[in-house]
Amino acid sequence: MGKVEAIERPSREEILRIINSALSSKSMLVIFARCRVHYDGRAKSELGSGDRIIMVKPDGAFLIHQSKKREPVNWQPPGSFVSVEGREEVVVLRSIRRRPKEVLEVELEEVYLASLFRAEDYEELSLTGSEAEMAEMLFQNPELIEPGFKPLFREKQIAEGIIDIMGKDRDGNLVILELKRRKADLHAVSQLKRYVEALSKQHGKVRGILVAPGITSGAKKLLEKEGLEFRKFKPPKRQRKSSGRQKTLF
Amino acid sequence: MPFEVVFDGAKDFADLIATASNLIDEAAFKFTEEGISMRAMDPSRVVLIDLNLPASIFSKYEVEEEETVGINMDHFKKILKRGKNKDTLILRKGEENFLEITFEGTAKRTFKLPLIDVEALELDLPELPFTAKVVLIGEVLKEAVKDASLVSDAMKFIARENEFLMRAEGETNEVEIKLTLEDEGLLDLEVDEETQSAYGISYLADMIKGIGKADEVILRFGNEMPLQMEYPIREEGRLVFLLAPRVEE
Repeated sequence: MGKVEAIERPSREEILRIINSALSSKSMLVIFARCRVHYDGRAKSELGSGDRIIMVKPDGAFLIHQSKKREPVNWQPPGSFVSVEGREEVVVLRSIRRRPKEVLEVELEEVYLASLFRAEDYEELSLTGSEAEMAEMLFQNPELIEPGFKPLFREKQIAEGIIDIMGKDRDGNLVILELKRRKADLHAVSQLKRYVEALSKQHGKVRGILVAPGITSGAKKLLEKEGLEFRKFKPPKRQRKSSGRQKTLF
Repeated sequence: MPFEVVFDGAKDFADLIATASNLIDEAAFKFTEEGISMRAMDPSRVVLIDLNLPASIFSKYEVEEEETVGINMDHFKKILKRGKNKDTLILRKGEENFLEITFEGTAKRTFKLPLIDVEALELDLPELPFTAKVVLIGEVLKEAVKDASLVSDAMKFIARENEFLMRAEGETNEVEIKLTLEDEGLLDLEVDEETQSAYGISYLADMIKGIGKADEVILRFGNEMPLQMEYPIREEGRLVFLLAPRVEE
């Protein structure tokens, strides 16, 4: 099967085939159709007949977009379960969410284009914006990590990846900081562990500190098990005007 | 050594601990015959918390011998949150290394919190040469910090003989909150000389979370000096914060 399959004015059989193919091959399904939408869950809503784009993602995210505004007019989050039903007059796409129980039903009255897209994407959006601000703040106020901490390098490239901040503590030990703009998870801990292990080979004792506004309990367990550290730190709000340097008490 | 203390109004106690736990992860609580005290600093050493709860604010206070217990603040906060407004809170410790937290209300619910090793902060609160003392109502301070947070991440406190100003400046916006003794929100002002200092809003926001709208808050500060913020707990108890200043580059 190729990357994309698209059928203009598909027949009923072709609609069902494309939908089933997309669902079973974990591809993105995009349908241009005139449809009615019924939603029943925490609230109830009906959307009468109109032309919309219906997008179903392999993780279960379901979106219905009208030809206006940024947000979908109706949607279900990832984890929802999609099914298709060929009723007498129309083909129906249904998305069900378990908790809370929500059902989104789309009656495809006329399908203009049915397509699937085998999208491969392993990248994650790197929030360089505020992580850069965190780094900036830490370079200016290193005592926020601990007294005596000296940051030396930023965005240091090593074979295993890019270290956010590398520095030395007051005892002269090498310190690696991994910055996360959001609550740190297992992935962040493994990343830090990789860097610490890589540098310990050459530099002896290396301390790894995960710096984030919070940490998941699973990640915390792993962090402690690996002998790594955590510093709670919130990324600063966009500060344009210099609001001074934070001093410490002692 | 065993102890048992009873506090009316579990929720108030919970709010107190929640405020402290925003800033510190663990703390050593000292139970003496006089009362409960706790002093701790946040990991970045920017803010110090000093809690003093005298025996008189408890409806029952039985502490035979001084005992210091180390507590994980996050767990403590989560357990205390389970208390309802009207519940009576009982803190008890036997010979084992557990703190028993009991809520007495429509039922009697007991949690057991394992105690941890915490290095007690053996620091005396420094005698700082403050030149300004401001007493204001909790609500005014809370609203001011909220206002300032829209604009910047630091706010300046300025005290003059007849007025107290709180200011924040962002790239394009500014906010100024002004108080004189004619304003209801300002209860007292003692200023030796014009005094100015700036503080981080994220710390201030955590510090004021537990302040009640009608509480009297005492602020003391000096030029580019730490801020001492104090407010009463059940009249005779005190929660004091010492916050390091932010200085111009």
